[in-house]
Amino acid sequence: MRAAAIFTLFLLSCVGPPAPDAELCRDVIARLCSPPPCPTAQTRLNLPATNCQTELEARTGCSSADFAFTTPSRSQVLSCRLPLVRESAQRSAHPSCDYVDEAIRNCPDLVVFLGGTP
Amino acid sequence: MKTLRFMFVLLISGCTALESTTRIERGPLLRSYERPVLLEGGVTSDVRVDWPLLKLTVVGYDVCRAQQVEEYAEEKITERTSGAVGPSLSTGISTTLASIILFAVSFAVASSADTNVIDAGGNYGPSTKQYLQGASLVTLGIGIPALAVGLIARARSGEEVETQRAEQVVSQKDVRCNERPVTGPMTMTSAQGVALPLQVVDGALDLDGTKVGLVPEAMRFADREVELTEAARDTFNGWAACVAVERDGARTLDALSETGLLARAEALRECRKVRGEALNGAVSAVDAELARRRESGSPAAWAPGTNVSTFEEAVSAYAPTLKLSATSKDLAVLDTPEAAEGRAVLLEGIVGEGITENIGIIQVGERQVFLFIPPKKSWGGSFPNGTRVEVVALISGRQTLGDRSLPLLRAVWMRTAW
Repeated sequence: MRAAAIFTLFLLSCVGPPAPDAELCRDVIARLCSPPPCPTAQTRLNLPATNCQTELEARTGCSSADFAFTTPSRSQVLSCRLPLVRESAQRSAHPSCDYVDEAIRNCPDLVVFLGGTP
Repeated sequence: MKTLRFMFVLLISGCTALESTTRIERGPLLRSYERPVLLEGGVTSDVRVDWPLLKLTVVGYDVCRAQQVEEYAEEKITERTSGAVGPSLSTGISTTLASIILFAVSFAVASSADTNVIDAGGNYGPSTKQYLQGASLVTLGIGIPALAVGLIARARSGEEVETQRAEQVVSQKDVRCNERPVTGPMTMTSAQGVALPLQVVDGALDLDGTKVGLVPEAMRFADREVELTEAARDTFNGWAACVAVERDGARTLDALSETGLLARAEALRECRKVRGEALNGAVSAVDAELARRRESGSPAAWAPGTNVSTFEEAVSAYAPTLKLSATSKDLAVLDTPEAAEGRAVLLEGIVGEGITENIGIIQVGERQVFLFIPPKKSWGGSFPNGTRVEVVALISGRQTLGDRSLPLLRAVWMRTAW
């Protein structure tokens, strides 16, 4: 039992606390709007040429600090976000357009949530 | 959980190979004492002769060995060392200290999460404090086992001294003991290997020399050789010689060859040691016959009509059928000259050392023979050492002179040759 506790402690030392839903939502939007925007994302999500991030935050409502996921749920968003963080978990990183295409293709709920066409 | 701990200690112990060296140091002398040891002995016999009786008193004995033993204190020192102690302890101490320092420092740095990162699970990146505590845990994971290995190896190293006693036999002395008369089977054997079974009762055995069917040479009691003193051996040999004379007594001196006559003379002298003056007459008779033959030759060797005046006459009269030369196959006859007594031979050899006035050595190839030259020889001339000669001769058995025992040939005619 003590060994299990030590092992858990070791694992916990590798990660920080869970990011709030609003931060998670803004992270997804930042990755999709990171210039240069990918063509598929531009088409399917109707991304504006300017103020992309502000536009999507307004569509989703995650500019509010007390935003919480409903549809899709947080777990669904995390699953859809996986291709976007495959290259880097840094928030400033630009994901590969292939990975962006994958995320949009596999997650129609996320596309709808972001104000796009599934 | 206890099993796991035990396995862990066992694993760690297995990693610490120990080198063990043992030396023994001798301490002071504790005591010196005599230790008796009883060993298997043998059989011996007292020998007396009251002709014709041989009276034996056969006794068995043990060997009592007295060993002088010195006892010492002895220290058996076993040293165990391990090359893992130093490296393991230094690694363990340094990494454990590093772990403690990292853990302590972790409380002095920022504990806020890294918000620039959100991983696949939706969590922020770890704080600097978490990084340091993780590193502290890793170094502790290295340091504790290394420390354990070092401490266990150190605990198992060391010197073990075992004090014991050691004995050393410094001298020993054997003496006969427990002598007792024996009862059991005894055999007397002849030179030809014929055995005469006898029975010893309470150590006593009387044997009549006139009724023994062989000439005894050795005695065995229950398959063990009976040991005799030098005096007892002489007495026994004398009695055995008397038995030989007794058995050979029917043959007159005239009928004996020179070898037989010499053997008779030797046996009589041996026998006289136990029978004394009773044999003086017989000894004198043999000596007189020997002297007579030296003077005039053996009657058996000089057949009628053998007076010759030339080498050719000798060849014609004796008609030698054997040729003894360096490469002759007939040399094989010299292996058993007794079996060819009286046979005429043609001898080709080189004159060697002169042994007596009438006997000298002739070298034939790699072999040697004694050549007897009669005092009244018909041929003339001298034959110094190295002279090549050819001789018509008669084989006269074997002769022992000094330490040599060689075939004896009696010369009929001799001349220089080839």
